[in-house]
Amino acid sequence: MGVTQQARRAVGLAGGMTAILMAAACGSGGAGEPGAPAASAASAAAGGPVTVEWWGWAPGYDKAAEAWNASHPDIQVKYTQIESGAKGGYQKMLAAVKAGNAPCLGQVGGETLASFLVEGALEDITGYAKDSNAKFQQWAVNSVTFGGRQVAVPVDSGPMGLYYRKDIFDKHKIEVPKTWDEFAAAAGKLHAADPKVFLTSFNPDDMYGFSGYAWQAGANWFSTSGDAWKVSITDEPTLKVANYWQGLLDKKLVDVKPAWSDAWFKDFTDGKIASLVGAVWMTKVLEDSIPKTSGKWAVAPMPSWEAGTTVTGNVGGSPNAVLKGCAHPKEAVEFATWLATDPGAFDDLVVNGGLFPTSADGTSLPAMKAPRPFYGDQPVFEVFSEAARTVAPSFGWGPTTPVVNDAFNSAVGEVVTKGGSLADALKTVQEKAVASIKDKGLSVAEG
Amino acid sequence: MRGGGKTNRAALVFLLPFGTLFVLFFVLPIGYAVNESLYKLKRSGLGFGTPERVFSGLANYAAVFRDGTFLSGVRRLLLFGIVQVPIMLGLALVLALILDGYAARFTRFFRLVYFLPYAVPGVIAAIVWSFLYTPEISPFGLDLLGDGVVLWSIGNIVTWTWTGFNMLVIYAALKAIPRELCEAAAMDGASPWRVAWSIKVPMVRPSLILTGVFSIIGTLQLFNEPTVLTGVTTAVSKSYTPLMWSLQVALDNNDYSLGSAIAIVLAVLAGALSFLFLRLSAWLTRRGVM
Repeated sequence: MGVTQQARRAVGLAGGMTAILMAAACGSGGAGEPGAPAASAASAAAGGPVTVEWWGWAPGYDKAAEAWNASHPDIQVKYTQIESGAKGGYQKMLAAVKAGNAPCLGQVGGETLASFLVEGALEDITGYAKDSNAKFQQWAVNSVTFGGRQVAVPVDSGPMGLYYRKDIFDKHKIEVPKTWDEFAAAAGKLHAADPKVFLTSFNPDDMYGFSGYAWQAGANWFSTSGDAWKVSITDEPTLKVANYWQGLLDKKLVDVKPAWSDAWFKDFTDGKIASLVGAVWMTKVLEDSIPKTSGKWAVAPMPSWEAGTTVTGNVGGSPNAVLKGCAHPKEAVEFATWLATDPGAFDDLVVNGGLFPTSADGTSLPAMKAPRPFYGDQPVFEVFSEAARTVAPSFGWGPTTPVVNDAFNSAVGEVVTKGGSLADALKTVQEKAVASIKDKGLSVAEG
Repeated sequence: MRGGGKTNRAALVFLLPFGTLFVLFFVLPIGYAVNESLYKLKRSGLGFGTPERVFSGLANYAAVFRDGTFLSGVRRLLLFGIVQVPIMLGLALVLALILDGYAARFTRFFRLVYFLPYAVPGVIAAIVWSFLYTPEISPFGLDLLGDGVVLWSIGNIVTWTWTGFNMLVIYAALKAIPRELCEAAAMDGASPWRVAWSIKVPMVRPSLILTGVFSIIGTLQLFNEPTVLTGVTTAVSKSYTPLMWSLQVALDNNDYSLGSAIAIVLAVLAGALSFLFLRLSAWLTRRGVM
């Protein structure tokens, strides 16, 4: 706990914890109907250099702002690093919107965009963004578009992969599992060979990690149906994932630890956890958190549900949203687009922040091919570039993600402390998610 | 008459700094919270329009009691208070009596040692304790963060922090007891035990009641310790205590209205419990129990 943990979590969130593909779910393809930009008059009016305020916390953003300012004298970006969203950053932005002095741009995770939207905290930027959307992967644009209105510019995403300790796998002759069945078998084999070592850990308080597994299996927790939200946290793919992990929990084949806790990282350092299925931004988190194990790790594709197929889950992605009251939305969008698509700018973000691009040609950046010493000089971003092409397209987030997150943590936390089943816990999460949306006065579709 | 007017004016002048700050940072925020708790943001459909703020009467207060989170939090705190407060105040009383009666040579040293934990900021203390509790890095080799145990692990932190403070309050009261009284009792053959129980303890009753009221309010406002422990155990949820829930609702769910309502209900409850406690101790005194 404490400073180190907060720092790690900040890095994790920065790398773009949180999810993407919202909008496929929201039933709107990117540039559906061009929204009428509300504040266009204001942005065009004044002469002289325009200042765009920008709040975020991703590593590398400060340097990106400097680089932009040096080459764009007419639009100066004033970057302020704030706490990561989950640590109070979102609350700060919402309070600023309420007080009428919010920055123009704010880093808002894909999982939180809809919550911001129902608080009336986002501007419609469809009109400014539609011309540059071709520079992005289509699903990334979908993920920031709600009901035909684009509210943010994508930055990064979090395709998942299998991080594993090559030395431990070699020592116990464990093959790198390609499917979840092989993964479960490997968990049994490894734990039998060395009862102190677990193949992986289960974090009862990590909804986002779990959502990545469900995402891969084809779940779609939140979608819209007409004028109402649809909540499906107990859909068939999610229950399949829950039952899978229930099996590993029942056989005590996984190390149960709170995510991001010192205890969790200590088990990694001590070699008690031999692998982790996580998003691309864990690359940097592991490098920073468990330096003693440097050189012993490697990355493989995420295990799949069916042999021979590759479908990947995603955790994370923090777009930059234009907050309500922004006087220069056009300039803000221009900068945000540059940040996410300019090869030089994003190359720096890969190097400085370990961010993974959402731009159409982002995977060809030189930094993506860089070998990383922590992973035995494997160019791990190449694995994730491959994975990014196979991200399942269906998953979406709803308007009360923080509440759902808390409900998940306490319900699944009870499963590991008091007993019970993950499937029942998910039922509780589903009920609380529905209740939280109704509490906001919004409609929820039955079924 | 004129003199009286002057005194009043002087009193007003002296009250002004306190009064200003009191109104600015106490009355106004409470008024704001009460006002906030009577409104609700109205949305419809998918909620993509701008929400509208509407008067909702007591709807938020009904919501406080609706899903059981508040009541289970209060039940947890009552259990906590019934066990932890007597242990803490008992310890504080015993330590104060020992300091007062014996250890005369090292009084200042021990007084400082007992009080020291209180000087450590609460969150820092909780973080250090959370290290001690985490099995992987703990020297104890016990699981002190399990579902059944964690409430008492929190109790341990609170007791560690606050015993010294309470001891100091009681000790100050003990110092105010006229020495002749104890000497006279000793002359009459009362043992130190007898003196402590029949003279000192009754004489510091007001301090015990004061620390009791503080402890009841403190228990209901339990926040720092469980909040820190949420990072190291899943047995403590973000709505573990009513105050934590209030913050979760206000900040995570961005529902300041319900958050205010929870806080106000909690304040009323703390007031009611303190009042009950005062009445109970007055009744016990009348009955000659204490």
